Amino acid sequence: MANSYSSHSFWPSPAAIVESSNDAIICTDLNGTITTWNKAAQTIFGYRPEEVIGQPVFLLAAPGREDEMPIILDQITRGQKIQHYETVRRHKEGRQVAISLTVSPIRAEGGQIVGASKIARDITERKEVEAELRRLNETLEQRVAERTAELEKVNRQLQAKIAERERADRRLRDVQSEVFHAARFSAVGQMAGTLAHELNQVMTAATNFVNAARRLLASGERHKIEAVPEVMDEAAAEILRAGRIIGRLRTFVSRGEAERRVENVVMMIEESSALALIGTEEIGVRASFRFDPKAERAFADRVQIQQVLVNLMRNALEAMAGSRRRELEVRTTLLGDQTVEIAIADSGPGLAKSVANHLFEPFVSTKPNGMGLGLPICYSIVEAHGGQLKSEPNLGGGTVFRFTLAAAPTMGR
Amino acid sequence: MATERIVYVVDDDTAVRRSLGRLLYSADFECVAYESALAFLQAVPEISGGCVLLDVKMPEIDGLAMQGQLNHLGFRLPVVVITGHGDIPTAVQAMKAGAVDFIEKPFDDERLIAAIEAALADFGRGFADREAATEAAERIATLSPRERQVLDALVAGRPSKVIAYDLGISVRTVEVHRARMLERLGTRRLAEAIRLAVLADLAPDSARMAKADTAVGGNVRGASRRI
Repeated sequence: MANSYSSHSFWPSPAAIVESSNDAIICTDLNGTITTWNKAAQTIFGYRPEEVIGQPVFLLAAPGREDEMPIILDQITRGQKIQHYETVRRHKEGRQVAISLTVSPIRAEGGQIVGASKIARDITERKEVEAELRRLNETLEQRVAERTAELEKVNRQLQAKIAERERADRRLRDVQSEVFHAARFSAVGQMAGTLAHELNQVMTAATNFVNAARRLLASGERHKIEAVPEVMDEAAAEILRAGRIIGRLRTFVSRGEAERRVENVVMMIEESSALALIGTEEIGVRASFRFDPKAERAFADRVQIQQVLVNLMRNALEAMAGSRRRELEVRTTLLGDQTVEIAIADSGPGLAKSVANHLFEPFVSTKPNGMGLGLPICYSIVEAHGGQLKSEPNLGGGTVFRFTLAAAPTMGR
Repeated sequence: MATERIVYVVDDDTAVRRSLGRLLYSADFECVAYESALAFLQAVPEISGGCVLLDVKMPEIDGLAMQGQLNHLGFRLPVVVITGHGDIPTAVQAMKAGAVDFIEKPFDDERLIAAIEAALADFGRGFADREAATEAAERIATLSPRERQVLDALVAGRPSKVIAYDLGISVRTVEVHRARMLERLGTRRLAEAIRLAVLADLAPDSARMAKADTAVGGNVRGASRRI
């Protein structure tokens, strides 16, 4: 084979290949005396060929690794090969060079081992990259650990927040059910329901009497016509009964007097608005609150005043349903020394004068299905609290409802 | 003939009872009034003709419970139920229990008298008459799927706003469907439409399904099942 290579004139000689290799190629005899030293060996280890040929290869040994070379030579002598052994050698200038080493026996024509050929590749750069990678890896692990700790902290904070939120939600639900309960079983709702039923009965009877009277008159029969005055009296009696039922509306709310105590106005408003504003953010309602710190405490029956607040806020929201701009503002102000005013302003279309003048009378409503009882009840509740409820146009469009409560001394005063 | 023009009024409200008596007298009906379901049930064995005008909202035994008792006794006189304003669910329940019609308080005299005249004319036919039910089913089957959905929702007692939301259409559109539905059923009264819807439900299955399928396809069954 070797012959066939050399028979081609363009094929470089083995010596030329050795010389041009990027790996250091060093040959020694079995004693370790250097016989061949190529250009790459000079580049890697710093010695020129004339400096090292004939010298023992041990001069390349790195401090602390002096034992390696005799052991390698011993293995070579026994015909063994060493492949890609990573180790460290000493540069002429004393610094260490990381190399990957492959050592093979050199055999004479008869086959006996006469020396060793060593191919060394400079792996300093690779080692540095590896070290850098290791360092980066460690940094990364460090950062992961730090970040994990950070995340755990955030997680703990989040859980605390969730717990807090749940507490707030529970509180809201409690308030909600309290107000609803009150609405259904004690106060306004029941009142309105009962009222509607009773008035319906009265109106049914009155309508029947009037219609009967008309028919009796139209019959032309004497005994029927004679009954008409009596039937008309019965109709009138029913209409009076309607008046009495409405009158009960006023007295019913004054019952709460004993229940009145010092309440936190801000809390009452916040709880009511949480209830009244459910689902309104989605439809683009902007709610804002301006609380006067001096108007924080007032005498109130909390459940009743919250009904007023919910009622006024829901009215405001319904009034704005068809408006492009939907802004609800709730303000508190201390008027003089003894009065807290709560104002609920909307950006709706405002009230027609004809309605505005009769707003607090029963059965006046601008809503298609409105019973016209909400505001009269609110009015009566506020009145029973010794306050006033009134409405006025909102500057810039819409309506403001204002009501007053007796201020309670602020804590610490 | 005179005995057939008797109206038995059952209402706990004295004034309403008395005013109904006056009104029915002015319209040439004979009126016998009872202040409770119990009082009426005790009188039932002696009653043989006429019709019943029944207030559903009464203490102790209410109108619906009383209808149940009447059915149990095999009472065959037509019952017209009086409900509160807008109380469609109760009206539907009453119709399912066999009432021939319902009127909402307060009502106008013409409406009341028309309902009583129709009920008296119905006497002897029986509410669950197969022919009437089949005819109702046929009329219901002429509705478009949307009209049928609106009717079903009304029968279920849902207000227009809720129906609009459920069907994903505007309240205005619901009102349009409602008006067309009433027109197609040949009536201007929701009560009549509801009566037909309830009646149609009592029609033999074969008649009803066949009609429903040919008219509006499978949607109707899905819609009616939601009630």
